[in-house]
Amino acid sequence: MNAPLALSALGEETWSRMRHHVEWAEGFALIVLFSSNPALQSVLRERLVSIYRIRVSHLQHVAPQSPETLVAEVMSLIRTPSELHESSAAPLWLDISADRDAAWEYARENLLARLNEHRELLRQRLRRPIILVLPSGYRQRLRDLAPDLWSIRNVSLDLDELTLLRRDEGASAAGPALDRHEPMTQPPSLPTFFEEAQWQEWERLQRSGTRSREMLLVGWRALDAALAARQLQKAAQVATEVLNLARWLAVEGEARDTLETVRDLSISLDHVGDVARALERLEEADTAYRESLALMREQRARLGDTPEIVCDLSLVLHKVGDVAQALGRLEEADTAYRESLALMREQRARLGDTPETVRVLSISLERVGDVAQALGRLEEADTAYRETLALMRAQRVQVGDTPETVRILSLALERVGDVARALGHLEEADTAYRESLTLRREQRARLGDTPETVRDLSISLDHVGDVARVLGRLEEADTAYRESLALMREQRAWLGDTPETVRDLSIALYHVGDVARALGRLEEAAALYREALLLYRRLDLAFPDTIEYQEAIEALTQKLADMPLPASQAHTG
Amino acid sequence: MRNLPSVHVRQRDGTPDAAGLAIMERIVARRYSAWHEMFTSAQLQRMALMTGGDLRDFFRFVGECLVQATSLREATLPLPDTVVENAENQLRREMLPIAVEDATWLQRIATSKQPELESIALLSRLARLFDTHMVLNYRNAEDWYDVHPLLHGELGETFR
Repeated sequence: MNAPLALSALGEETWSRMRHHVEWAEGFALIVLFSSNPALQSVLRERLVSIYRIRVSHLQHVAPQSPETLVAEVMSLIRTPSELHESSAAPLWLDISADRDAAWEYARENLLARLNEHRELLRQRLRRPIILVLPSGYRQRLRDLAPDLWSIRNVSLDLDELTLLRRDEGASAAGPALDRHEPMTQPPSLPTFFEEAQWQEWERLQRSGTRSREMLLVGWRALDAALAARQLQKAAQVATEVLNLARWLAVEGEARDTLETVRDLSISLDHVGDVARALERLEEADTAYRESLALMREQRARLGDTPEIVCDLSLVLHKVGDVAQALGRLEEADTAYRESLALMREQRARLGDTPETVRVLSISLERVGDVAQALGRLEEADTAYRETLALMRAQRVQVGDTPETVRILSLALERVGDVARALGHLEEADTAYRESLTLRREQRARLGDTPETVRDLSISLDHVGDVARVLGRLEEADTAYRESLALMREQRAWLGDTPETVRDLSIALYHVGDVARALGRLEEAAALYREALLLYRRLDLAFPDTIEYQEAIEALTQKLADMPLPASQAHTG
Repeated sequence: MRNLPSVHVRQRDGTPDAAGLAIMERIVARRYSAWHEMFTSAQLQRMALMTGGDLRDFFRFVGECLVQATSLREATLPLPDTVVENAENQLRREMLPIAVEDATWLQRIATSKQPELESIALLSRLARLFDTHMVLNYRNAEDWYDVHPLLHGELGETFR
């Protein structure tokens, strides 16, 4: 579970709109966001951070914390603009969305009134976009408090966390393991003020001794905050506490044994499982998911095939299957995925092609295909992937090019290509990979350079290069690999040295080196191999138990030793 | 109380004012002379009418159409009407919700085209309706007022 929170299709659409308003701003622009969900804010903010980093600019993030200094802090920011920020058109993300005590509320109202009075000052001094983040449901209050400010907004967006964000299951659908590009664990980041505020609120309620469903919602938010900050130990602690509460509500509370409390318990178990999975405690995750599964089966037996129950059950089956797969119990995973697939087929027959049904069905098919492929049942995998492909093509016609539809479609094409390649049908693989590549180029053009769009594009280029290489079209392979290498160099420069960026770059170097060698450009190949070798050595140092790095070091050392170069150049250090 | 009069795009009886609409077209042309490649005249007039001739809302409407158009699978020009509809809905959503007591007042203004200020104590509330563009002010021979066109349908909903 590398990215537990992701945007839904609607979330992507909202992001795209927000991004265009920010990017198209010539000088001052006011974009108002209404959201009380720090996790969702964080997803959007981080995307802007990524975009502006690659432009040698940055997003200035200001989240004042004290009501006593709020007005002075923000007004000073406006009165004394930074030349550096202005020259790089760095947007200002001003977050005053926290819901705290009366003093804070008063300070926020005061600030908005001051900004309203000084609207012209704001426009003249702050010659860059400002993203003003206010709590959910604050629109009317803002209009009343600061009508002049409101009238110069470029756009205001309500960020409803329930529809814009999706949980880990969606993220898993959007980010499966892809050949060499296995997702890698991200290090924890420092929690933001609001992430900490979510935990504190949860801890405060815990201490108060109250036990209610509202408290459960606070707990889930605290958990989201911990996951957004990749603070997994903290997340594990909160998930366990929330589970205890959910269990009490379902078993002993006033509304015990109702659909709602049992479903809450199942969701809380899923969270415990998700965190355990992220911590690589797979047996623990398995136990939690299986209890959740048993609960959802009971609900189904009691209440029948309601769309909600079927979807929930299907998603829990995916989780059970994922853990079984990670534990190497492929037949068990296969059984879970197939049960989910059967459920979703029935659901589709009942409800038609609703976006949710199609989404979950496509995940089921993808999982069934993956296990079939791992078990060497390639024809079966092919059938599953092609069904996903047909499903997503139809979905694309129905809903247009939403980022999620395009991504799942591109992944399905990639998988069809993988199977064709494994079956030796190289031209067929080439066609599928190239279509996927086109989609990813379009996606990048639409969404801009995000870590995901750039990485996806690089993966597609590698696939096209791989097939061209096997078909003996070396110049073509060279072009594709070089483009991928350029992207990975950019990505590393942009995101810095993370295990993922270093690994991706070393693989790209390896590929270009291989083709250069095959084309007889030996000196160039040696230079590329040496660069890759250095990176693999660093990875090996950091992750000494990873066989992949040891094997790569061995292979590269051998390649360099085998090359007919002067001894000084063949030296591998 | 000071507020900027809107371009007179409708008569008091609600019929479009051709002269006012022509002014809106000229304003757009000053900013971007090839606007007709992006929008049809009918679309531009619709935007002018639905924003009641308020220039900020009008240009926000135009901008929102362009942003919405970026998510189109195939860019066709002039933009399809659905883009204009979606942008219109976005702008309308930004004006909502309306408190019931405001809706009652707005309904009276929509009918009489007058501010309907019953007591000076209510002046600040009326000012708020102007400030938030829920009520627009027109000046020709005499001052008259109307509810922002994007809210007409919503007032109908409220009063049903």
